[in-house]
Amino acid sequence: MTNRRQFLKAQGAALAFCAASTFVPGGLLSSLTSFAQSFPDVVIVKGSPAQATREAVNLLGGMGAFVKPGQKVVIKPNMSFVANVDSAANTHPEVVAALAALCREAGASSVLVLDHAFQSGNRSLEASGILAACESIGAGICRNVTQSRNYQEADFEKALQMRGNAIIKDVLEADVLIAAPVAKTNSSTGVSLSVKGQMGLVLDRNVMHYRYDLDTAIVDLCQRLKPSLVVIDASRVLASNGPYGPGTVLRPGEIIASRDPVAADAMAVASYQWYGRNMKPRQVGHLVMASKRGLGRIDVENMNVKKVLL
Amino acid sequence: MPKITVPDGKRFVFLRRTTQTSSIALFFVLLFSANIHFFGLPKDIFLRLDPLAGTLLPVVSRSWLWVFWPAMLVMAATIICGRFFCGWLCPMGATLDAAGGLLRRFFPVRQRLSRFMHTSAYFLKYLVLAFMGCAAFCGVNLIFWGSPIALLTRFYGLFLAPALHAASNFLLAISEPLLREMDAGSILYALEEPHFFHTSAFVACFWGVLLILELIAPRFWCRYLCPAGALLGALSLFSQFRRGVLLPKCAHCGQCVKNCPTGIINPKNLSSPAQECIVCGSCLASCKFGAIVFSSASVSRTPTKESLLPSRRAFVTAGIGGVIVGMALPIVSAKASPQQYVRPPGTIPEDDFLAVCLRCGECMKVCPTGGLQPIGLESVFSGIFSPRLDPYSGGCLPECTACGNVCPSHAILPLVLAQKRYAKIGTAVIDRKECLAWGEDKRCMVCKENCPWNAVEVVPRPGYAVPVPEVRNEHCYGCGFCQKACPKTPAAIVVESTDALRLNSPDFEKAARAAGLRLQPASEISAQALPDQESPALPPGFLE
Repeated sequence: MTNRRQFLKAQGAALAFCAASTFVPGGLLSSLTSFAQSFPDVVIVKGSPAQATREAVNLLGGMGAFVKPGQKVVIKPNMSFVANVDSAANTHPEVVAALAALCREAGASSVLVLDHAFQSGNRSLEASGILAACESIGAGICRNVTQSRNYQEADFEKALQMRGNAIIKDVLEADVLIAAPVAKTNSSTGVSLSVKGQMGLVLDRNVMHYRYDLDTAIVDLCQRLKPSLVVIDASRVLASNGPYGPGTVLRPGEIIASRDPVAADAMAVASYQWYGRNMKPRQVGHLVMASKRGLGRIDVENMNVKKVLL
Repeated sequence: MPKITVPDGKRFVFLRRTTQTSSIALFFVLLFSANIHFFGLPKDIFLRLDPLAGTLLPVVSRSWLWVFWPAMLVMAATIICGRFFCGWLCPMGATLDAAGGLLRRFFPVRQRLSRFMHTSAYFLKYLVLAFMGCAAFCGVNLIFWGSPIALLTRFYGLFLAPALHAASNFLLAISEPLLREMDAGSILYALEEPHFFHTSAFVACFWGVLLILELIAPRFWCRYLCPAGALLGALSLFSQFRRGVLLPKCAHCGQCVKNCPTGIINPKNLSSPAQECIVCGSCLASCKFGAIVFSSASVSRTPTKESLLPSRRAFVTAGIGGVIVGMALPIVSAKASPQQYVRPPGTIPEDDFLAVCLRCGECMKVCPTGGLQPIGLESVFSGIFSPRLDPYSGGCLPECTACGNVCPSHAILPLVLAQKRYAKIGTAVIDRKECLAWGEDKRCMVCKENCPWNAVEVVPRPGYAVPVPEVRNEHCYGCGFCQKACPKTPAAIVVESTDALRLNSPDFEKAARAAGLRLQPASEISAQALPDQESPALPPGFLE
């Protein structure tokens, strides 16, 4: 337990650190701080999707920092929609393929690309281009999981409302979970990014709509399934009429990556115009809740951001 | 006419068995193959061979259905060589032969029916035919209750296939630990979950009864009940190629009587009525004395004493029964089921549809989402077993044209995609009291995110705490994915048959444009083509 004094001390220290980090050059800072803090909070890389993805992971310490040899990895992209790459409803196939390749290079024993699409079969996987891109990395690694036998009930111990749901077994067995959402709007939750995207790993999404408060249930889920690496595909951004579209497609050509899913999402919210308007992370209900419940930060103005143009 | 005789019984039976086996094998291949054509053979060829459908569907629909020319061939051939179709080609006959043979081996029940019972039951099928025929003349389609190929297609496609699929899923589930141990976990993803069909219980019971009847008499259905058999039997009365007995050679051993699967050889004079003989050759193979011939020569025939045909009075009574039902049914059904069903895309207008739909279930079997379901016993007076879209089971895929292209009677038109995509089947309607967003202030856009037609908008409306869904009717196809996905049970958004396009010709694009519809799948709409949207004060889903 912390008492108020300790809390204030910690706050003060953090403030001092943040203030310092804006003045002290990065190299000096990284030598001063511990290993985990030696990388930027969020990286934004502009370039072709595959190259930018590799560079973004590299700036966060390389895939080796997340995936140890022999580990099982699950990558969760958006591939639920029967829509092509230009529509921005699904993650760019090159981003997914680059991540899968990086995991392989880091020595992962298995890499799976999983999503629970709206309909069974491979139609949306094919339309998105992700199936073909993944086949070139490893046959059969990209799967749409709609069969209930591939799910297993899991308890969400820290949940406020949704105390359990069935989760894809391969996700429960994985050592590393990587979220690779596309940046897009969602008419229920404002945006759908890495935190909201975890809904694609459970069997019964509907219960999150009709029984629980959606935002609360999203955070309940993300507390159980927190990705250790988030790579948001903002090569194209579906800035209106999400999640399916068709809608306004922006083309920033960027990749936003972070170890902190809330920080990555918050940065994506702050970086682009949604329905032609500038929005703040605090205007996205589930991100506010996630930060309050300790899942990550939404204070984009205080983050250590590394921007790279390839 | 040249004299044709078949002397070698064993070879004859071997040839028949081979044909029967190939026939049912082909039936399975066509039913279960994903392709519409198999080496040039259309998927529905067996249904189009069905003589009952080929004769009575044109009568019901008052139109010449040229697609049933194979059935005409069968009937023409029957006039020459008897009910060979039943013994050689019919996959239902082959199924009953195989299943009945197995059943009789495992449950050797003594066949108790007296000869009197048997001989007095053969005429039943002619009454069934008279009944269905007269109803057909009154414009009522009862054919599907007796068309053997339709019954069989329904049984295999809508009951047995899902049952076997479920069984393989169960096997997969119990072998999961082993598969994961062997690092073959990917197999677990390979098999989708089966689509089950409504009325399965009824189909199972119906076939259960048929198989139990096989214990009472082999080919019970074909002997006593099958109206298609009755039709072919009537044509066989004129057949040239038929069974005969050379009495001087006959030792009266009774083997032929015992081995006849339809039980029609008279034990006294060994004659058999041509209309009941399925030309299977069992008697020929069982005769050690060479006393039986199948021949086009009339000299060898022994005259038949028993006709086994129904009495004129019974026949006329059955016919009148058919007329009464044929007159009454439209009146009763108009009162009983005013409900308009959501039919598959490209379905012809309802009255024409009910007249020609064979209820074979091909469209439902082929539907990739399992959304096409048979209408159940609740609609016993008219639409029973005919297809409707049940969105709770699955939606109608924008890029699929399967159902129309397998329909044997063109009750669903075979459309190309360019036309099918305009064949609107209904319109989604939101129940604002039940809807999570409209009625309970809960944020939900599941209908929108599942809509392949971009027909649902989720928009802020004054007086409502959250953005609410609205259906744009002219964009809505009625595909039903919204209803399937709606978190509420029952769904707060349901497809009704409102504004469905039902045409007799395949020009749906024109009709859709004339009706002011703007059907375009979301996947085809490019973002550049969108009209400029004014940005809302607060984008949907964001907080102030």
